[in-house]
Amino acid sequence: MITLVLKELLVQKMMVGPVLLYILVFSFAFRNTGDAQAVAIVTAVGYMFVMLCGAWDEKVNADRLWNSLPVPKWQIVGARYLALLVYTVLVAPLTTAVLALLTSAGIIKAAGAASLVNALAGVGAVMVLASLFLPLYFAFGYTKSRVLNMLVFVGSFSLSTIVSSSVSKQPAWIAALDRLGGAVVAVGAVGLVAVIAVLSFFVSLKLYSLREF
Amino acid sequence: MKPILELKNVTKRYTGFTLDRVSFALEPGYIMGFIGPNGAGKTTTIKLIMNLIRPDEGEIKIFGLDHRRHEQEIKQRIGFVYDESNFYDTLTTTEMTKVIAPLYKNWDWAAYRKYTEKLALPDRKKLSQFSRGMKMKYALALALSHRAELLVMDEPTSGLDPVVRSEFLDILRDVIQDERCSVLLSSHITSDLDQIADYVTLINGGRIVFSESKEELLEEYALIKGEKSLLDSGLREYVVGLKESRFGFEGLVTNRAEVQRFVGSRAVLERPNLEEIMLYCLRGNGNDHAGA
Repeated sequence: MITLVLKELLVQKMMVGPVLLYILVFSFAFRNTGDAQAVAIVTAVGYMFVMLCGAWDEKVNADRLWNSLPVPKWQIVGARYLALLVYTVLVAPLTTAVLALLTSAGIIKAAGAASLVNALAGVGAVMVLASLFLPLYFAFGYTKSRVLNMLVFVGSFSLSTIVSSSVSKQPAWIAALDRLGGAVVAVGAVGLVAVIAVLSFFVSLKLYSLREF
Repeated sequence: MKPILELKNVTKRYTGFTLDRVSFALEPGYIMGFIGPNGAGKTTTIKLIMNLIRPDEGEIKIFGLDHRRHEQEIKQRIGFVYDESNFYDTLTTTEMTKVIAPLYKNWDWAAYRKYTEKLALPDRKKLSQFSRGMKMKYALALALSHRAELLVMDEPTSGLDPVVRSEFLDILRDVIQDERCSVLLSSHITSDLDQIADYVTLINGGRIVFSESKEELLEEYALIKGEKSLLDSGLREYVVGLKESRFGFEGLVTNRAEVQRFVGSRAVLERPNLEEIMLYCLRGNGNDHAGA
């Protein structure tokens, strides 16, 4: 399993190498998103990683390789989720550092956004997005799932718009979450993301097991 | 001796193509050539063996084990080389090997180094800079570095120049010397199999035409040339494939010894090669007339 995670990161050297450049580009692209800036950057960089992993696998027909090797399918599927988690957890502090540097240099104003908590929220966001996309990817392969990916992406952004407009009206459930305190909410959010990711993993595994190569 | 690979009535149905009750067996220590025209079912059969696709019917046993129930155990003991490289172009051979090696319990770094040196494979070069021949040689080095007992190869030599093909075949010959490893080698290039195969299986239209030892095939079949009147004197029942012209005929006959007695000095019998056997077996003795 670790070998497969390493493979994902090795293959994406071109994503790991210039990651600073991507963070910089997205720092400017998302400069008007307020406190959500770090979340948006980590989500964008993380999602690029998921898509490029799929693109490379498709290019070399990697499913034929991995399914010919002595590797159980649960490891092939699990490695993609785990590699994404490892990658975005590494990207999160880098994003915080870049935003803090750009803010202190007066290039952008991201004082509120440059927090590790915000960046880690991005890890959660990308895991949720990937949890929606990966079952489609493992069921249909990269080319077909790319079309469905657009639906996932548009759907996610529509949902986030609805949620943020709902939050801005301070509904009762937000007040209830406030009363619980930051730590409880954070643990709850991590738990919820974990449940979504685990459920997604099992769906992906089931669908991948039905595929032929 | 127990077969190392055994297919019994394996069927796989697609729209427009059916792999129909395919059965053959490979004994330990032998090379089996798997031949047939494009679209005959060679790759489908190999995918079934590798459990990349599921059979609709039939049974596949590898090392005496059910190939689906014992998939991981079996794959530890199989080496494979496919017609296309499935390696990541962004990686060097060293990086790719470091990913693959830990997956095999019996990985042998000494063997890997031996084969990469023998095949002159650079270790710090990206796979994107490799030619097709080098990628195939690299796949062969990987397949031979974990003490595999069965090598499954799907058209590994197609598109390779004669020098690389010869290197490839030399290594296979060496590997088979220890009589522990068996090879299933699918190929269009029957001259390669003339050199190294012990058994030959011919598939056409999803059905096995024959699966026999090469020596028996070469003894059993004969090329024949003669005048057309000979055909009408009772020879046709021995004819497997035929080309007729205004001047006579040439074809492939079975039961060589009997045919020799039958025709005496009226026709010339020659030993065929695998390509001729394949072509005539596929051509049949119907209405396919050559020449004018």
